[in-house]
Amino acid sequence: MHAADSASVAEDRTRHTRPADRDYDLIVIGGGAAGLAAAHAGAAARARTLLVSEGEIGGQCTFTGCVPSKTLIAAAARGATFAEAIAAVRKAVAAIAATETAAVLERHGIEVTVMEAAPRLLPAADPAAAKVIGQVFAAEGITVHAGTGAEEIMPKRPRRPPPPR
Amino acid sequence: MAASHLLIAAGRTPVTDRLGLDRAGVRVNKRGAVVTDRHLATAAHGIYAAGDVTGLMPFTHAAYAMGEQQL
Repeated sequence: MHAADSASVAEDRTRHTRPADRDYDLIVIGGGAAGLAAAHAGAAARARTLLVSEGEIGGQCTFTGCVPSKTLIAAAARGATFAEAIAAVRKAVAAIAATETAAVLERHGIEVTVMEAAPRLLPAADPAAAKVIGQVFAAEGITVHAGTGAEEIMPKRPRRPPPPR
Repeated sequence: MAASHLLIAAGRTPVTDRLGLDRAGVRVNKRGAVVTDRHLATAAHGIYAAGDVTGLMPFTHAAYAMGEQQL
């Protein structure tokens, strides 16, 4: 961030009212790379920080992106079998995920709320989420990093079955 | 063609429809990405977006940088 941006952000901050009774300075929705970066930066700046994550913290980089893909590439390069490659992926993902658990983040001064991962469950229907998100939207001056991710694009199934081989 | 496994790597798309962003005044574009200005501020005061949800640069290092930038 260059100086002019920093100045404008600082100026913007001073305009915000800061209710004395509010629970957090920063609520981060999403525990992927962007959310983790924002939460760590918030804690480092001594902001009262809450990270809300649906399911395990780590996001696609840890579970479906960088970590498994680089491990797969390395396994393929050394001629590993599929089973060996998948075992290596599981091991690598577990090792990285262990550095991003709620317990680890809490040691860094970040409060964490992990909602149960339920595919297609509406977060708003989850009382914990409704409470947190309600606070976010009701309270003026709270910064939210809505880095709440993306999901895989799956090709649509062909309408007709492929021709027989 | 015969193979034992199929790996599909067709990209990723923002997931914003479950957050109730419209109720908060946060705008999303046709592809579901949160609309931000160059400071990553959304249309709603005090709410910022970072990462794949912005539809900008879908890379981990970019997401991490966007997350850090706003503090």
